[in-house]
Amino acid sequence: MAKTTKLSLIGLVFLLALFPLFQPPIHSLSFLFLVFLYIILAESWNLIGGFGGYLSFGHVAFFGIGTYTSALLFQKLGLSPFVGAFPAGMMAAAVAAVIGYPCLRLRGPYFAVVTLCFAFIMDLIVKNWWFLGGSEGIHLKLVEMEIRLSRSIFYEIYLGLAAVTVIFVRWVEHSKMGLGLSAIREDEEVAQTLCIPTARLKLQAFVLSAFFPGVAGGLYAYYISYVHPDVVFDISVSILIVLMALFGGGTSWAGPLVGAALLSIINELLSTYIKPEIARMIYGAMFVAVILFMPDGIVAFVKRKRGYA
Amino acid sequence: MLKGTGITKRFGGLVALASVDFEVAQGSIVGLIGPNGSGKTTLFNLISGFLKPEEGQIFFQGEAITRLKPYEIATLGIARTFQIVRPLKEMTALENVAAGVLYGRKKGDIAEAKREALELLRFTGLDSKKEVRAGLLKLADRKRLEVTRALAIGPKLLLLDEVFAGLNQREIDEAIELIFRIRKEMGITIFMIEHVMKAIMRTCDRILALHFGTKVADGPPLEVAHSPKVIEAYLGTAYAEDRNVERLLR
Amino acid sequence: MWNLVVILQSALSGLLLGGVFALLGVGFSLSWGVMKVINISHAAFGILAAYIAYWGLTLYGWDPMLSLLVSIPLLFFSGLVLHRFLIQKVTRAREIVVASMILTFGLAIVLENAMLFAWAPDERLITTAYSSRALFLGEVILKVSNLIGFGLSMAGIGGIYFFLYHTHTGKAVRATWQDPEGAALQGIPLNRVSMIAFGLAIASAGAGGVAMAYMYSFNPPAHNHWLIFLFLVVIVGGVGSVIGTAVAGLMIGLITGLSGAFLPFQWINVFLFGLLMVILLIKPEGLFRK
Repeated sequence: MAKTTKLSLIGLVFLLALFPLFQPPIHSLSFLFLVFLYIILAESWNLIGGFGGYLSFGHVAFFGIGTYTSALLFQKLGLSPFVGAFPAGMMAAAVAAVIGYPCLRLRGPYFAVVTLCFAFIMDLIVKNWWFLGGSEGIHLKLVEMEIRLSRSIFYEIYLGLAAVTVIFVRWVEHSKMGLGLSAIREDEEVAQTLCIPTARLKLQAFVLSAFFPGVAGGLYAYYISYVHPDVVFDISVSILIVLMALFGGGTSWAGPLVGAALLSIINELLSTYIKPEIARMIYGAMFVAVILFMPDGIVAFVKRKRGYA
Repeated sequence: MLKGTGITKRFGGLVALASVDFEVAQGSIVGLIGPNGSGKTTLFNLISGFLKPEEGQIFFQGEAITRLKPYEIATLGIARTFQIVRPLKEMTALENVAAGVLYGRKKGDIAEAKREALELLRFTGLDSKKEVRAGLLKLADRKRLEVTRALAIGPKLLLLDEVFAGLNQREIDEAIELIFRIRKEMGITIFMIEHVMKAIMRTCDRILALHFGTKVADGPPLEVAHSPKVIEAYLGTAYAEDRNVERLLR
Repeated sequence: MWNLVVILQSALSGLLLGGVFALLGVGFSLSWGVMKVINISHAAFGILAAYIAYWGLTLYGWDPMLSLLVSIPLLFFSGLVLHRFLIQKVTRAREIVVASMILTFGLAIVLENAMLFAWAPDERLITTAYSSRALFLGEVILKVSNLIGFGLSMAGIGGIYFFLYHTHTGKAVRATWQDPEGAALQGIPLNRVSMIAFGLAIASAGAGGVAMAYMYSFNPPAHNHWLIFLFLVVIVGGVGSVIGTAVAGLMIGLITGLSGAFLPFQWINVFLFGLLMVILLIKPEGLFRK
């Protein structure tokens, strides 16, 4: 990565970290919090989706699993969600390992549909199982804190987690695993002839891609304090993650970051100033436009314009 | 080195290969010929693990590999190219080869893998194109890349599927040179499917001929070229041009 | 609970619903199998046709079947235009299927919200003069409107079948699906054939939408709900197979109806999604692949 890019990114993170000190409107803290969340989700998704070429349309399920795991740990065992976030991530990873094994044998659209089904089923199971709170959800009675302080704390935590996720994904991209995943994405049979253990590598990527959403979910339980399946197993989030990563560009670490940030900002602007239905129409039209004119994502498009072959 | 016994492969009602026995001796260059649809690529797919035979067994260096997964077979030392080249398009030539080096020669370090990949690209004459995206290479270079990639995993046996197709005479001569060098300098055994008769006559120590899934000839090039069954299989096709075999071998 | 009448009732109404699934599924399958386009907006077009039928009835007193005279050509033409100007641009992308999914997803969002904006999220129901009439088979009640919906679906499937097997263009479509290169070598204009097939698929979605509207209420977001069933039907029946998808549609309808008799309401969907997952994991080519 060019020195200037590296420096400006570090600078950006630094500025973002200082942002809450300027007493900005609380709404902006909440908004950026969501942007960080989507960055975490889209970046980790990219491990299996963009790098590996297996588009999981059910990834929100891992976020939900994380949220519920940490909420239940708090409810039943009194474990603070800050501590519970790690087991939450492990739980999501474990589930990913179990369902990934059979699901990753499917290709392309079939994998997409089966992961979508998985997310739906998780949502429905949680809604209908009394142990998990059913459609009532779980209320977490937490420490009383002034709202600006609590928002700021979560803001910083998520900023940190987003930065960690981005760094990790970038590291994978340039690692042996990254090269192997690219080969799988380009041509899985050829990858096999290159001695790449495709099944194992795919599963590893899938499990890793589930871990971060799980951790983020674990912390989210504390943030919203009322955990409900409609919120944390929202299918449209699942689909949005895919679109954000592909919008930015799936083959590099920068794509999901750019995609998540841009789309969140655009969405926010649109819904603030325009009627929601029209805003969503523009949103939909944007996807059509991007697929037509920048099919490899924005980052690749910009790189090409700048002259990198 | 490579041996197959009683290989039978069926696709629904169609019998692609019927009880074929074959053997490839270590250090040799063996050719596999036959008209379209005679089962040549199917045999390669069986050897490399992408298909499983209904009957028969395949042995590599004494070990049965019939039921192994493709990547396991590759790890044992069998590399292959594909009839229609399959470059990893969005990756550079160097990355294509480096992937093979990394996983095939069990390296952990990408920088080291890239260095070895560069060496291989030099060997096959592609080093000047190392940073070019594989999808942008011209056909002859794609074929070279396909072979370089196969070499990357450090194989003992190389399966070449119609490498000469689509090449002009000069490119074919260069390719034959490369094949000889691979055998001589890397000690790799070669099993190759070909349609270009002149080339295969020049290159191979032994030739196997298939027709409708059965083996119809197996021996040195001259013997196979004169075999009535082989001539019958190729009635009217390109072989008609290559009637005078002595001239070919000069 | 093991009341025979209840079971029969559920099975039959499920079967009638299955007819609609079959028609919608066949169009969806055609699009996916022949043109390699997973048309996420398929069901949304169905809803559009349902609205045309609704407004035709409410504003002008047209019978919903008459509205088809408007919606079918309109949707067919839309399909032609969409294919020519959007989808053909995408078939050159690296992964057609993925790109088409995202493209049609954007399209579905545009369509859904355009309808929301124009007509609000209220649930609409088509009630004609004969809507309350019913046929009685013993104690089993079959609503006339459901029967009409079923009949319309069967007619639609019949139409598609006729097109594919007894018209020149239809045969060209089948040839293109089975062997695109061979078809091109035969001189079949691939783009034009795909365009027409896509137009047909969208038009059939319209017929399916009207058929569905005879049976259930609808609003713009309803297409998301239908889409799940479409995937289920097409994957069970086998992508691109007309007969397989049609049979699968009837089966899924039957299963949906029957599960309504045995399972608590909330668990029906779990059962269906679970079924889809299981089928995908065991036999993704579908149960009826030729």
